[in-house]
Amino acid sequence: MSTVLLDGTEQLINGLMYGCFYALIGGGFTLLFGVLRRFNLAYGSTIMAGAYAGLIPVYLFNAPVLVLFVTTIVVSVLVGLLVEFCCFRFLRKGHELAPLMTTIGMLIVIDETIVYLTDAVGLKYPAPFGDESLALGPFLIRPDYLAILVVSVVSFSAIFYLLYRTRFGRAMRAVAERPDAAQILGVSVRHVNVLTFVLTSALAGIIGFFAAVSVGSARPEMAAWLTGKGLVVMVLGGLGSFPGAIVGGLALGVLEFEAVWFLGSSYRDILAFAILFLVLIVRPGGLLGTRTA
Amino acid sequence: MLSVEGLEARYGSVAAVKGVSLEVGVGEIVGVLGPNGAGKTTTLLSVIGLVRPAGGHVRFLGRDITGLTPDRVAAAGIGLVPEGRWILASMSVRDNLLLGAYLRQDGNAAVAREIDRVCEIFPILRERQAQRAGTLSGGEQQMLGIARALMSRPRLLMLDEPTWGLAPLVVEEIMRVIKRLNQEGTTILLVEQNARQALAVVQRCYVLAVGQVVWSGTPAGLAREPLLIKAYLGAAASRIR
Ligand SMILES: Nc1ncnc2c1ncn2[C@@H]1O[C@H](COP(=O)(O)OP(=O)(O)O)[C@@H](O)[C@H]1O
Ligand SMILES: [Mg+2]
Repeated sequence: MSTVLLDGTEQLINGLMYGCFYALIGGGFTLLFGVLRRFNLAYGSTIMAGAYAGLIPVYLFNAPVLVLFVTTIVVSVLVGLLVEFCCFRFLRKGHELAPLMTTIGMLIVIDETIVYLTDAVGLKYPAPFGDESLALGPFLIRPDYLAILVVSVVSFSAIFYLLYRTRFGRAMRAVAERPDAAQILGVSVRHVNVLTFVLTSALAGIIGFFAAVSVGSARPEMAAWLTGKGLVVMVLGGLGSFPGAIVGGLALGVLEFEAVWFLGSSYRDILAFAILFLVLIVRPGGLLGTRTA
Repeated sequence: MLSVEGLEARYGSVAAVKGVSLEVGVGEIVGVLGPNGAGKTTTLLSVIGLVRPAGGHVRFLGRDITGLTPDRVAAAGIGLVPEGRWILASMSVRDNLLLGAYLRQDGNAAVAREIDRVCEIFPILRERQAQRAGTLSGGEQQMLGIARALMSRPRLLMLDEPTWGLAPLVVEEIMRVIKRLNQEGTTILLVEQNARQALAVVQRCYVLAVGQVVWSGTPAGLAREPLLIKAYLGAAASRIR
């Protein structure tokens, strides 16, 4: 095999693994949007808040990484519930744009709180998976990316099981499709909304942990970066399509890694938005989107 | 069983229902007739809780349910087959039926028996269970809408124009089923523009126009009101005997 092909394949593998990470972010945004039909722009901040909070037991008690991981999830869920309560619960029906305002407000509050508490300095994150690349045949694989792959597959399987095999998942899909029809059958939209926040915020905790681990630190720029990627993946996959978010995330991961290899790393972040514009022009419904956005 | 008193409902500044009162007794089958825009649908939506009443009261089984959210009204025992059916098109027929049983706490076996029962009422649904509900024909969707509402074994079933836009044979089947359900003990509130069909099955009826009850009585009594029929129930009803 030629080096170009070999390197290209290695980037493909890494891209797919990192794409799982993007798929998780897009999946979180998409689940929320699919069920509530409203954007939650504070989702990136929810992720970041969890990632920072996970460090508290580590700094205070030198707690092991598992404690950090669990703290990340718990705090993300609490922040998610706060977002639901402050930004969504009391808004009246039919004001689809109001949550844009309330969640941007919440995003600023969370970001500024973290900047204030940490002096905007990035906090070092543990590297639980080591930093030596693993050899997979001729390819070098980052161990944390491999962990992301495993965790994503587990998370997505769990979410698919929930959505398509459980009573609550059926209610969630019904609320996403026709809230009024779900309601007259006895589904409480409020319960579904709150539980959707719990679910997506738990996912946010997982995302926050791996985001910080893969970068090596928790940083205040995380929220904007995660929000950007999440929105791009969500639109790529077709607004509200959960399988679409997975495909969109994988596609973005692969394209970014190939672009880094062939064009240089400075193109990486602009690429996401270039792809976004292209898709919006060529396939405005997203890659797997059936309904028009 | 159901008692609506002085119900008022508005959409923004438009008053759609202006003081409607009606009663449905246990085991009865009661019709609500009236022209397009009379406020029939709004009345049902106010009862189920999707439209918040601006005034008046809704009582069900002796309990004030005015302003409750729809999930709690459904839990109290009221089923609605809404105008336009509101089928969950992307989900399977079976998932639609299972959602109809969302409130049931009596276990999977009981729900499976209930699916069996509604499939006996509408045999076509049995073979369509795995199909996406959106691929059903209009008549089949209406049957699914009724079957789904029956899954929770409601004490009161409200149907909003269940025969609208359907072929004559299907209309007949659905009216037969409504009559049978009532004979088997379900209390029914039937909203219809198709007065002739409705009057053949109901025991009593209300005529609504511009948000108010303009007449109420038995089908036989209505047949003696040619002016009322002409004014509110249109040409299709003029053959009422
Ligand atoms: N969603 C809505 N928004 C505004 N006005 C409505 C809405 N739904 C119904 N209306 C108005 O309320 C009145 C009653 O409508 P409706 O209850 O649907 O009557 P019916 O079912 O008897 O045809 C009509 O004048 C209709 O135009
Ligand atoms: Mg109507």
